[in-house]
Amino acid sequence: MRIEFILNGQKRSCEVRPERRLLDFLREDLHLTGTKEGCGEGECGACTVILNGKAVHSCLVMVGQLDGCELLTIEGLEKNGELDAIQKAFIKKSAIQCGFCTAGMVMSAKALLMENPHPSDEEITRAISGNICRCSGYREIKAAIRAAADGV
Amino acid sequence: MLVKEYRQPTTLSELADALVQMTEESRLLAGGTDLIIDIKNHPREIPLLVSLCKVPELYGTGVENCEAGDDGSEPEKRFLRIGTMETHAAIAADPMVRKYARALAEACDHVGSRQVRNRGTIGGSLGNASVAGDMLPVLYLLHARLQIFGMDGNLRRIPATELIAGVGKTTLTPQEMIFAVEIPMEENRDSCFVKLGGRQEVTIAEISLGLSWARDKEVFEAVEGVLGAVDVRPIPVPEAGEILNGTLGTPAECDRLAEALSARITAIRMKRKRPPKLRIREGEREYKERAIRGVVYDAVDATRH
Ligand SMILES: Cc1cc2nc3c(=O)[nH]c(=O)nc-3n(C[C@H](O)[C@H](O)[C@H](O)COP(=O)(O)OP(=O)(O)OC[C@H]3O[C@@H](n4cnc5c(N)ncnc54)[C@H](O)[C@@H]3O)c2cc1C
Ligand code: FES
Ligand code: FES
Repeated sequence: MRIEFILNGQKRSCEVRPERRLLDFLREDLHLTGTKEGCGEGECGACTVILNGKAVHSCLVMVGQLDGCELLTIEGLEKNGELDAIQKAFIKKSAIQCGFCTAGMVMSAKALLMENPHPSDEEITRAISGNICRCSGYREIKAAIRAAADGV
Repeated sequence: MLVKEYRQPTTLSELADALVQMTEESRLLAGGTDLIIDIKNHPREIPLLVSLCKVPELYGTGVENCEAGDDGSEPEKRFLRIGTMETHAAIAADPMVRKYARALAEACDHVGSRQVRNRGTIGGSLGNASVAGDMLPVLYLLHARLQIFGMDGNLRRIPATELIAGVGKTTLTPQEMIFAVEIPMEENRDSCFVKLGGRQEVTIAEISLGLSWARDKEVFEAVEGVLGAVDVRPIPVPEAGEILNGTLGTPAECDRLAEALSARITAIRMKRKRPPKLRIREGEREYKERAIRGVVYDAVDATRH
C-alpha cells in the first residue's frame, strides 16, 4: 500500500505493509531510531510520537493509518541545528539518566506544550503519567518541562 | 502477524462492501490500542483487516432529534450522538458530553494514559467487549443505545444492554459494526463515574461505579447505579436508589450501600463455577467485596462536584 504523510515537516510517500507497527516502520524502514521500544503494549510511553498534534504510542499504531497524517518524531524537534527548548531544558536540569525514556518523555512534553503552552504542575504530571522512567524520581523531568514552559 | 488483506475504505459504500467480505477471523481496526496487543499476544493469520479511520461519517459528536424507540412512544426525544471513531480524549473534552453525559466524560478522562486516550475510540472500547472496559457501564447507566451498521448499508439500533454476548464477545455478526452511540439528553439529570484506582493513570478498572440522579434537589432523588468490572456485563444496582433516595448520602448511607453492593459481588463470586485462574489468598479473594466501600464513598463524593 502507498501512503502519503508529512514527517517532521516534509512530505513523504512510501510503499508500506499497512499492518506494520508505526514504531517498526520508523526504526527499521526509515532508520529513525530515536523513538524507542520499551514494552510494546502501551504501558511505558518510550515509543511516544506526535500524530496530528497528539501524543500517541507508535507501538500501537498500524502504519496504514498514517496515510494523510502529520507525524512528528524526536528527530523533528531540532531546528537549524538548534535543539528544541524542551530538549535544552532536559539537558540543563539533568533530566536524563540512562536516556531510554527520554525521547518519549520529551514528545509527551512537546505535545502538552503545543496544546497548552502554560500548563500547571498538575497538567505536567498528568501529561507524562503514561511515560515510565525507571531511573529517576520524575522530579528533574517535571522541572525541565516546567522550565521549558516558563521559557527559562 | 500475517494480514492477508488490508482495506481502508473512505466512503460508507466502500465500508459496506468491505463488511460483506468479513468472516469470524477478520477484524475491524479502529485506534488499534487493543487489537495490536491482541495480535501480538495471539499471533495468527487475519484474512481481512478493515481500517475505519478514513470514513468521515464515523466521526463527530452532535445532537440528534429522533424517535426514541421502535414503538414510537417518545417521538420528540433528543439524543447526543457520538461517532464510533471519536477518541476518549475528544469525548472527555466535549462540552456537550460534559453537560449531558458527565459520567461518560469522566470515564473517558480516566482511560489508560494520555497516549491511549488520544488513540483509543469509543467503538473499539465497546467492540472488544472487555469485562474491565469503562465505556459500557456508563452506557448502561445513561440508557444509551447503539447504531449498528450492516453490510447492506443500513443502520439498526440496539440498547447498549444488548451488546455483550459473553467475555470478549458481542452479539454483532462479523458483517456488522458499531456506527455511533446515542445517549438520551436529560436536562434534569446528572451523572458521575468512579473506578478503583481512578486517581492514578494507566489503570484498568477493577471495580467501577456509575451513579445518576435528579439534578438540583435538596436530597438525592431518582438515583440509579451501575456496577462495572465485576461480572461479564455491567450490573444495574437498584440498591443505589433504594438507599440514597431521600437522603443526603451521609457516611451511614454510604456504608449501607457499600454493604449491599459487597453482598452483590459475593453472590457473583459464589455463582462462578470455575475457580479463579490465579492462586490467591483468602484476603485477596474478598478484595473487591471490601474495596467497594471506598468506591461508594468516592462516587457519592463525585456527585457533589
Ligand atoms: C495501557 C492501556 C491502558 C488502558 N486503560 C483502559 C482503561 O482504563 N479503561 C478502558 O476502558 N480501557 C482501557 N484500555 C483499553 C483500550 O484503550 C480501549 O479498549 C480502546 O479504546 C479500544 O479502542 P481502539 O480504537 O484502540 O480499538 P481497536 O484496538 O482498534 O479495536 C478493539 C476491538 O474492537 C473491535 N472494533 C473496533 N471498532 C469497532 C466498531 N466500530 N464496531 C465493532 N467492533 C469494533 C476491533 O475489531 C477489535 O476487536 C487500555 C489500553 C491500554 C493499552
Ligand atoms: S513501547 Fe510503546 S508504550 Fe511501551
Ligand atoms: S532515564 Fe532511564 S528510564 Fe528514564
